Amino acid sequence: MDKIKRLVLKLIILIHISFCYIFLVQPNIALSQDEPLQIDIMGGKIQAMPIAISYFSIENNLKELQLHNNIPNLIANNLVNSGLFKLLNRDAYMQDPDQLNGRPKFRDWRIIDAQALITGKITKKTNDKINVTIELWDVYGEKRMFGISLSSKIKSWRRIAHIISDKIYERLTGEEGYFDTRIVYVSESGSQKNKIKRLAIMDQDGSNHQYLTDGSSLVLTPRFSPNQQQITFFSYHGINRGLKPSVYLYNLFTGKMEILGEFPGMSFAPRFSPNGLDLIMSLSQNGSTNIHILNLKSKNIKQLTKGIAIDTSPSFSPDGENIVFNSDRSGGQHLYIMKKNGKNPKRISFGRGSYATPVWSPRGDYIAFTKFTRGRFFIGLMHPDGSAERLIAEGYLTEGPTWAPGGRVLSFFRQTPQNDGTMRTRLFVIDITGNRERELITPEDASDPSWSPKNIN
Amino acid sequence: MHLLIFVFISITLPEIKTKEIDYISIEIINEKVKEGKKETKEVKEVKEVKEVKKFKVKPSPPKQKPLAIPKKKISVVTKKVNITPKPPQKKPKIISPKEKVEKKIDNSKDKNNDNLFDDMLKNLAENQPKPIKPIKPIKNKTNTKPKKTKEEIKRTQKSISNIVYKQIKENYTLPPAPDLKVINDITVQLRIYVMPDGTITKIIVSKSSLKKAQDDSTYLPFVEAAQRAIRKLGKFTKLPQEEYNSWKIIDIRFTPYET
Repeated sequence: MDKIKRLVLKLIILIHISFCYIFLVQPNIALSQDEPLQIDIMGGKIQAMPIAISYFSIENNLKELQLHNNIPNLIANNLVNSGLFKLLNRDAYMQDPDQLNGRPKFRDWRIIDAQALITGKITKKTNDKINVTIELWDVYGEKRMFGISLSSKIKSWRRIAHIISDKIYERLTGEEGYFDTRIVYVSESGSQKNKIKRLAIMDQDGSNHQYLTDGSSLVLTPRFSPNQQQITFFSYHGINRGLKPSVYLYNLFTGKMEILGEFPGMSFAPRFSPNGLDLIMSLSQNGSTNIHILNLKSKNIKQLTKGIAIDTSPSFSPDGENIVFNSDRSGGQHLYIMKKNGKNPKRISFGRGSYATPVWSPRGDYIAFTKFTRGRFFIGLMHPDGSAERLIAEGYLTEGPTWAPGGRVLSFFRQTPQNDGTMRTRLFVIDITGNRERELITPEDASDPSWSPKNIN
Repeated sequence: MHLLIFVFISITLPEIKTKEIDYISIEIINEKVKEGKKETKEVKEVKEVKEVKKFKVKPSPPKQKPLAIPKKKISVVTKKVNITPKPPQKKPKIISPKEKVEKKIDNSKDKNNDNLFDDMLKNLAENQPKPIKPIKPIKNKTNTKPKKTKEEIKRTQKSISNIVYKQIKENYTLPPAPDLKVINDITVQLRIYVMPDGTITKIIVSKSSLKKAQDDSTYLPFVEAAQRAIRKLGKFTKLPQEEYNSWKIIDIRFTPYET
């Protein structure tokens, strides 16, 4: 009997062990062998994307214009200046432009680690018109990412190159391009005591530079209209005729300048609403400065802020529903947001120092501003709720941020004291990471830049 | 209840073991193929064993076809059958020639070594026929490479993960993005299929990542950057061949930065 009992006991134990083995151990082993291996890759190398931009193939009768070199060079210049791309040395290219009319030999481009390849062809359309076709290739994916064909007058080849640059940038980054744009700014010349300030305009890369005013009167704070046709600015124009310094409109097509009505006080810091129908600005009267909105069609003006504080530098949100401005109503100079009708003002900046010239980004996710703290000027960014404040540029006098279309790149000006006691004022471009700052070359000193919207013409 | 479980175990346990054995035997073959220098000795040993086994196993076919065997030999066979009473052998019909050889190899080891599950099998033997016997030796053979414990599996997987991680990371560059922190979640998920020699044959982007890339143009470059890293890598090196099953399919999650 004992033997039987022992045997039964053994069997029970064995059963339990087997049970555990089968249902607990075995499945785990099976799982670990059959399930895909799970890998988490955190972070990656941050470096400019290596791209190859081949010279374009071209018809023989167009070769003397050098467009087959100039257009790809300008595209390369735009992309490299963004800081996000690195142009691979063309000496290392294994395929000639004429061999690149069809599908490239991707293996040849992988050897030099080109991640994207741009090829193109220029043909003559009419006597003064050309057709430019480009293709963007994913070298490792061995596929065509996109292609585009543009026709234009030969003299507009720069514009073609900028448009193509935008398309490539947009495809590779997913962000809106900003190469086919212009910048209006205040050109400064003359001595410190006798400064001549003129309105000037140029392409975003500094080319096609021209002056809009002759310098006979001082100009400040130029701003583009959303449709690119008009520029508003503050000027002392007409002061000799007894006019007060005021806000003006300049039409880029006609070259005509007009004053925006006669206001009781001094008007300044104008900026267009996103739809271009209104102008928002500050009016100073009876010791207080308040924000007003002016309808450009009816010329009706409406006061949005009240009180004895100085409220200035208003800027609309891209949806036109809110306005950011700076005010000293709480003692220090800080940033506030209010509804477009002036209601619900709310302070959004709480750091040390003074905040000024806020500008809402075209994407709506950031507000750029100038900050003065500890004896230095900074260009900073924060979200519209005031969170995530960070400073991206600094200098002796750094001011006047303006957004490029897409809201990922800004321009601003910086004044730097020179050894001879004079000041040098220059424009700079920087992206919102603060890592890629570069100077924008202008013929003379430059301040108060305003970046145009995307060229719609 | 216990009886039911017991019956269940007695039926299922041998199957599990046979599966296990199949897997292990594959490992051995792979090792030989991989390691050129060790190959000669091992192959010799195996050949010897094979020969021995062939010799030993020879009597078994007569079991199935006794009619074809001369009468004198039949008596010998019957004796053997009496020594190890077995149910009709089902396995040999299914098992491939390779497996047969491996099982033979294992038989030889069975006689030399003690099995971890000896007791268990003895007990089982009292209640049921012994179809497991040919399997048992394989365990013994694998005593040189005993069945992996959970911890060992984890360790191996960790080492494989490290190899895979390093090789992918070396090739992963963040896409050209003006502001990485624009998108809330830029995690990209891929599944890749790998050949035994490490060559990546297929990249599949997860449905969620694909959908997101279609909806959000700023997310697409992150998907492309992940794919580019894999294509640039092309082939894994230094992955243990004997663990191929654990890395033939790899799910990779790319998180360019912590959100």
